Amino acid sequence: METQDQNLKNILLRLEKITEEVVKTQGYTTETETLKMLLELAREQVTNENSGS
Amino acid sequence: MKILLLSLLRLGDILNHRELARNLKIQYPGCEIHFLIYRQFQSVEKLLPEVNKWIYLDRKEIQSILVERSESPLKAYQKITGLMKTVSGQQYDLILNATHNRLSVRLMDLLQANEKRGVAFEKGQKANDQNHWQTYLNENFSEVRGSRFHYLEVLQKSLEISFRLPKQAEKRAPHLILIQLLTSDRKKNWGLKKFFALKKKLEAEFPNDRILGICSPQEKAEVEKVFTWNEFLTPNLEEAAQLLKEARLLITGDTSIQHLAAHQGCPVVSLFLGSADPVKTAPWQLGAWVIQGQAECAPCSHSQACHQASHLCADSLSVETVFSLVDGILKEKEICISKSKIFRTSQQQNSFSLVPLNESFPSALEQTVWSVYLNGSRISQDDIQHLRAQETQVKKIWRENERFKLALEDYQKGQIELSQIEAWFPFWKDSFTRLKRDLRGWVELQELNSIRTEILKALMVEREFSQNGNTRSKSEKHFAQA
Repeated sequence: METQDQNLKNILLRLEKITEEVVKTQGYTTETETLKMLLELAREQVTNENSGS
Repeated sequence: MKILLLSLLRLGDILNHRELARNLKIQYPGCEIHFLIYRQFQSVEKLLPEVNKWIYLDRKEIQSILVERSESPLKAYQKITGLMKTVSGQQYDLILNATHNRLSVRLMDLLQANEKRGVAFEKGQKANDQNHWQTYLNENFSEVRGSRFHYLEVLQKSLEISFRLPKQAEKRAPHLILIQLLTSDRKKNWGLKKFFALKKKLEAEFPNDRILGICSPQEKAEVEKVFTWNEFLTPNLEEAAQLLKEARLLITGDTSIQHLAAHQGCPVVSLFLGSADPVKTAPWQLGAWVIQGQAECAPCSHSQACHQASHLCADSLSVETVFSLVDGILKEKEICISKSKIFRTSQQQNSFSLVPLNESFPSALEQTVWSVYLNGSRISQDDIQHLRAQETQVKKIWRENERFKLALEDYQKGQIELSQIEAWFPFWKDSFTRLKRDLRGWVELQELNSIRTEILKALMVEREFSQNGNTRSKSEKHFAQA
């Protein structure tokens, strides 16, 4: 369980970094918004990060 | 006309959203309604005949891809873009967001339609609220804050869907009483042993009814620890709907089955524990009963586990109390329970309301004032008229309060000041203190005072006053005696 949580946190960090870079270079695009949706789906699974409720 | 509704929450919410589909069909005759839901709730399809097409978001699969080290996150990305392509191909006239989370507002940003309603992002930024009801929904339903209106009422008004009150619970002959034994949230569970004891008491008292427990197939193993195999059923959703068509009562917690029961006209007694807030999520049915567990921490946060050493709100509801309530309902006799908060769902003019059984607090007053403000930004003469009309219900409650009646008479005669009424009747003052606090930013204090005066005048106008020559007011005498 701990490993999975850590894995999720790593995924979150990676996604956040990618999104940040895309926003920096391209501004707002549908790609950044899609990445942010993925971020939300990843966050849902991390304890105390759930935005779904 | 083609309409898409985003329903990206839990099973109970999707069942509740059936009401939106029904009303949309009336508002836009001949329209085609599509629902976007998480694939894990696919089994709900047959229970919502108003929905013409179902579109699924593979949430679990996307989340698994994100977690698996061996999977590329690009695959998850492609899943989302694939969904966007499917939705874009439909060319919707109207998209409604019935979900209030960050995922759905981002989705709203990506989806294309002639018109979009509900909370949304626009080019990565939060779009302005479209009406006051939407602001109210955002402020009061996203965290632990009270509301004066049911979720479905606020949601429909915020999405500008023609609002209709729900149907009355049906009166049914003795045959079957169902008990939903568990909810998907531990905080909302009353306890299997208590339900077992309740079942035994009901069996003894109502021999013409079969008393059956129900739970989902996934909960079977847990239920078997207390109930024997022939004392409960594990129906799927469709089978549960069929059972609820026949049952004369469902006793349940705040879970999806209570919403399904409301659809089927089955009378409901719901035990509201943990994060369950009766005003927000009572069964969408007139004449349903809600009993609420008492604890200082209730209702608690939806997304956090119970932090108490014992389950205080569940402990506060005894088997005897719940049995007394059910017994009173089924035998249609007076219900005398003083230790618990009991509500009955009813209609207050054009709003859905919870009427407390053992309190005279005029919640209808607050609901009325809020309605006036949420329906329009400024109070007008029409609003005042509307307010007066709605006060009938409030008056009905207050009429029973003899002391308040006497005070009103004295006020009308000029024998006491308004401030004296407020001092004697804290519910009157508290009500407005709370309104002032909650209405911050919505309404000026001066306007609030004018509403209060208008309501008071309305209360006076229709009252017949006895003429006696006493110099000391009747209410003062009454208080002196007390």
